[in-house]
Order: sequence, then structure tokens, then C-alpha cells
Amino acid sequence: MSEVMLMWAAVTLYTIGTILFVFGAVFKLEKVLTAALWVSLAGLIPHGIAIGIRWVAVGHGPYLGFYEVVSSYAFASVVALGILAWIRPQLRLMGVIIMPLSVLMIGGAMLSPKAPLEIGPKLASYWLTIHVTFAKLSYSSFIAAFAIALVYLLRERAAENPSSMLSRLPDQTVLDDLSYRFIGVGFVFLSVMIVAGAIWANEAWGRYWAWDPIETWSLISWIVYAGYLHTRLTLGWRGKKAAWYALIALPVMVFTLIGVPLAYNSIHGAYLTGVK
Amino acid sequence: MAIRRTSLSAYLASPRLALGLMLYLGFYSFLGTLVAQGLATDKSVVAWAMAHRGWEPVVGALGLHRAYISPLFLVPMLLLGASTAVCAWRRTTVAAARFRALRTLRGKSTTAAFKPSFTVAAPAIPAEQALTIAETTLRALGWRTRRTGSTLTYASNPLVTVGSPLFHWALVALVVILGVGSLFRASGLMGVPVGESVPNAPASYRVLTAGPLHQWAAQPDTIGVESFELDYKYGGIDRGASPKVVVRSADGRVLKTQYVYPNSPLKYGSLIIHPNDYGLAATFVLTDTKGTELSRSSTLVDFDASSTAGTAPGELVLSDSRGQDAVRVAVSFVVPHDNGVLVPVLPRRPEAIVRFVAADGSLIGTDTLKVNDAFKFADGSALRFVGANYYARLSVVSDASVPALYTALMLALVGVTIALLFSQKALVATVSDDVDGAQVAVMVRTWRHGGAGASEIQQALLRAFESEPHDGSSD
Repeated sequence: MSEVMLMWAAVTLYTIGTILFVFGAVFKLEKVLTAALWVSLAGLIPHGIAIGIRWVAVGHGPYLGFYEVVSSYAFASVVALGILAWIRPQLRLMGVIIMPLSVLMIGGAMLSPKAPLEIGPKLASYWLTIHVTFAKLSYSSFIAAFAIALVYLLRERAAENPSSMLSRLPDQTVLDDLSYRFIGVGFVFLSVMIVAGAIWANEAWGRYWAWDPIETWSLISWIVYAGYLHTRLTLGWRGKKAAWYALIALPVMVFTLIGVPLAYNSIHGAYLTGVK
Repeated sequence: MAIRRTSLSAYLASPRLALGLMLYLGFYSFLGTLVAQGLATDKSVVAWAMAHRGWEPVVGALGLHRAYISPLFLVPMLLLGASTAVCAWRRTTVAAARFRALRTLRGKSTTAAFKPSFTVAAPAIPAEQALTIAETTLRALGWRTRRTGSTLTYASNPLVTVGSPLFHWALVALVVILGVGSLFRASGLMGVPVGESVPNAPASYRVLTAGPLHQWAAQPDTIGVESFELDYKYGGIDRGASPKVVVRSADGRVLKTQYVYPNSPLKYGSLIIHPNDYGLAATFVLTDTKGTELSRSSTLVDFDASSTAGTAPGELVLSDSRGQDAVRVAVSFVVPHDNGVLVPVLPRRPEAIVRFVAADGSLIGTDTLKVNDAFKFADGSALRFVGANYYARLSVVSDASVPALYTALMLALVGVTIALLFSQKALVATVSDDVDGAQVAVMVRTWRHGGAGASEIQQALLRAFESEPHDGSSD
């Protein structure tokens, strides 16, 4: 089976998973939600094999080009959903939020040019693996926190409807704590990513920080999430305030990872656009 | 004075101040990304100013073209650093107290007096059994307690308390290291023709930023380029144009030599050398009326895709007998093109296009010189073109603060990991017999995120004992 066929198989399974999640949530069907989770997770198999095939073929991980990068973020999102459901099975409902985003990402990846980009001399470093791995880990953590925060807010709004599907989720304080924990973990990963990037930049270019747009936006993302932790730990923000913050913070992170290379003329842009 | 110190300390320790400064710096950094960064004379800055004529007066006045060294950025950054230092100090004292408390609770015989967070009755259940039920219930909630007599205790490892102070002190150290390091740091670009060496001194740099305390004497004496490969391959990857750089001591001893390319700089002490670009070097010999060589020098010529010749002229300055600039020589080459696209290589038979201008600006003459051709001046002296080769533009940085910076970054990572991923919590539960059954008194302390809190534990114990609480207070 070719890489493209496997990718389309993943797209199909993710799409079916998304439809089942929406269907299960709207009609409050627990079994459908469980099926949706398994179908979505099944999509990881062809998706993972496709990534592996390409990895072997091009000689590097999913680091370069819109197709590879965005597809791998879709993969990371579904993995994050799996982790959430593993921690608390009721949290599989988060698929209603995470799966449409994943389908959008993998769909966008499939519509983009798939020609492999070679690892040039500037990217040929073991720091690339460390840097990119932690970028994906931090993104996965933040999207999980985002989904939990969104569900938290939806349930706050639906508090007067005890029969709501949302009422079967863990207690609001548990959701609030989980969202915080995912952001805490993501913040650590983001910090490692930035530090690894700084050390790598010194090796590659002779400066650890040059206020390149991606460096600056990484710092902005770090500040935004540091602000979340700060408000929670020192100002005592909990519940709705914290959830709104987690909700607003994710787009900043996504823009940093995917938007900045497209919007700015950056030496970092090569990883997404292939332009040196 | 004491009152003022206290109020300043309280002001700097304010979480709202820290948050406000962080958000301000984040927003300001964002503004910096919208504006071309650099000196007012830089091409990118000039182009941005031309394209944004309406905004340029405001941007220029605010110094946003050099956003990250502007007082609008540095002053809040320093204030945030001071705020972080005060917070770090306060966190240290709090952490020390928690460290002692946790260490006491982890002692083999915990007899420390404690104030219960709540008490739960276990009607008709013997104390021993109630303790077992409590132990099981707490374990299910993630509290793996230690049982000693009629007491259950749990205390996190006291070392987890160092996370937050360590993180904040490391951030303070980062600000200090960045500030102090800039005083000692020097970075710049120098062009070195292949086969030549230049002194590692300010005059050799085309662009240089050096801190006032930078020690030139502590650096290697010369930097040279032994050879140059346009397509250097290593590890199966084309590393691109790579010069073989050599650094020597004052007595000419080779200190280190290697090919430099991205991700493989030459490092010697605090010195780190990267390739930045390359171009062509034209070598000329100035001779007197009898043909005796007076001096020899090389001119660096950069490739320029916007020029029809494919190079931007380099300049050679000839001095008169008094050492005054007498003649300026603009040197360029015609380099090959492939389907109209510049091919940045040394021509097979290089011909130097030279243009001589006198000190008063008048044109002396122009010529195209093949190798060993000479341009004769009116006074009988001549400038002979003896050959062309590549030159490597090297990025040379000397920054002794980098190891300290990396150490601070690593400590910050360790600190933030401990602070965010490890819980700080303590619990003591004692059981006593009452006429109606057992009474379980529980003290719970959860600092930062400690998992199940007092109310959750109380509810779980209530369910376990199938009883109503005697005391509704909670932590």
C-alpha cells in the first residue's frame, strides 16, 4: 500500500470518527462515542505507517514541508485524544473538539504539495529531532488542555440541563485541574523546545537568539502560557477564567507553529515552506 | 527607609505587576515582528519605511526598528527581572518552610502536633478497621500513606519544594548573564581570502559589535582560511560552501583548524566561527616606476544578483607617500550566468574591471585587467592584478557567557519541571476510639497542585464510612 493510500485511509477513519463523535454527542449515545474513539484511534495505524514509510523514503522525520509538518500535528492531536481517554474514559467526548481539528489539519496536508524536501546543511543536526519532538509534544498537551477547557465552559453553560451528555464527564474541578496539568506539561515541553532551539541556533548560526519572527513568537507563546500558570498559581484563577485563558492561548501556539512561517519572511520558514 | 523598602519590595512582588510586565513584553515583542529590524540605513529598514510612510514617523520615533534594544523593551525587562528576583526570594523562604515541614512529616516517628482540616466519624467501626478503610480510600485518591500505629502520614519528597525558587532564580540569573555577557561579548563579520590570515582585531572586521570589556588579547591572534570548497560533502549531505578555517596563536602555532559549515562551527575557548557567505578576492600588487613591489593587498568582491556583471564592486584604497588616501579603486568581476541566473563561482579566466578615482573625486581611468596585467599611473607607478580566488566571510563570535547561559537555562528547565510536574502535599490522619465508634482526624496540605484536596478526601471518607461528618470545616 502506498503512502498516499494509507494517508487517505487515515483521513477516512478520522472523518468517520468525527461524524460518530458528533452523532454520539448530539444524540447522547455512549456506545457511539466509544466507537468513535476506536475508529479515530484506528486511523492512527495507517497514518503512523504512512509517516514511517515517508520517513524511510526521504531519510528524515516529519519535519519539513507543510504536508509532513501539519500531518504530524494531526497525528499528535489524535494521540492527545487517546491519552485523554486513557486517563479518564469519559474524556473521550473531547473527540468532538479534537477530531474536527485533526481532520482539518490532515485534509489541509493532503491538499498541499507532497514533494519531499531535503534536509539542507542548516537542518542537518540531531538538535532538529529534539527541537521538533518537543514542539509536537507541547502542541499535543496544549490542544488537550484546550479541549478540556472548552468542554468545561460548555458544561458551565449547560449546568441547568442535568440530562446533558456533558454531565457524565468528570467533575468540573477535575476538568479544571486536568486542563492545568496539561498546560503545565506543555509549558515544560515548550520550554525545552525553546532552549533546544537556542542551543541549536548557536551551533548553526553562531547566535542563540536573534529575534527572528519564529523565535519571537515562540517567546510570545511561552509568555502567554507562563501568564496562565502565573494567574493560576499566584492570583488563584480557576474555573471559567482559567478555561477562557486556555482557550485563547492555543491559537497563539498554533500560529507560532504553522502560521508564522507562512506569514513572515523567516529563516525558520524553510521547515514549512521549503524556501531557503 | 524600612517602610519604603517594604513597600518597594511589596510592589515588585506583586503578581499583577509581573503579569502586566509579561503581557506588555509579549505584546511589544509582537509589535517588533511587524516592523523591519535593523539600523536606519539597512536595506530592509529603508524598504519598510518606504512601504509604510504613514507609520514610519511613529515607528521611528519609538525606536521600533531596534525594538529589542529599545528602552521601551529593556526597562520593563529589567523591572521584570527585579520583580522575579523579589518573587524568587519570597518563594525561597516559603519553600524552606515547606521543606522543613515535609522533612519533619517524613521522619520515622511523626509526633508533630497538627491542626485537623476535618474530622470524620466512622460509626460502629473499630479504630483499627477505620484506619485500614481510610488507608485504602486515600490510596485510591493517590495518597500512598505510611502507617505508624494509629496514624497515617504522607509527605512529598521535600526536594520538590526547590522547583519554583530554582526556576525563578535561574530566570534572574539569565537576565544578569545576558546583561553582563554583553559587556564581554564581541561578534562580527570578517572576510578572509583563501590562503590568507588576518589579525583577530577590530580593524579586520567589516561589521563588529564589541562590549566595552571584551578582551581581545585573550583571543587567538590570527584567523585564516586554508582552503575552500564550494560543495563540501560530509555525512552524505552537501554542506554547501565551506571554508577550512585555522586559528593561530601570536607565535604562529596552529590552535585549531577545520572545515566550518552550518552546525559545525570552529570552537576554540569562547571563540566560535561560522561561515556566513563567500565571494571573490582580487589580489593586486603596487609597483614603483622601476617595477619593484611596494605593497600587495586583496580586495573583497561580493556576488550581487541585481548587478549585470554579477558582482558588487569592492574597494581598494591606495595611499600616497604621506599615508593619505590618494586613489580609490573599485574592483568588480563579470561572473557566469546560467539562463540569466547568477552562478556564484570564480570565473575560469578572471578579469578584474577596475575604476580609478582620485581623492578629489575625479575619474583617473577604467580598465579590464587579465591576470598579470597592470594599470599604469601618470607618475610611472602601476597596479598589477596578480590573481583572484574565493574569500570566506566568517561570523566570528567570542562570548564567554555562553556556558553560564546554558547552565542557567538548564537549571530553569529543571526548576520548572519540578515545580509543575511534582506535587507538594502532606497528609496526617489519626484515628481515635469514641463511644459511637472511631473518629478520624485528617490534616491535608496541598500546595500548588496536589491532586485530591481536603473536600474530595472528606467526601470519599464519608462515603467509605457511610457516615455524616462531625465537623464540616475543610482546608
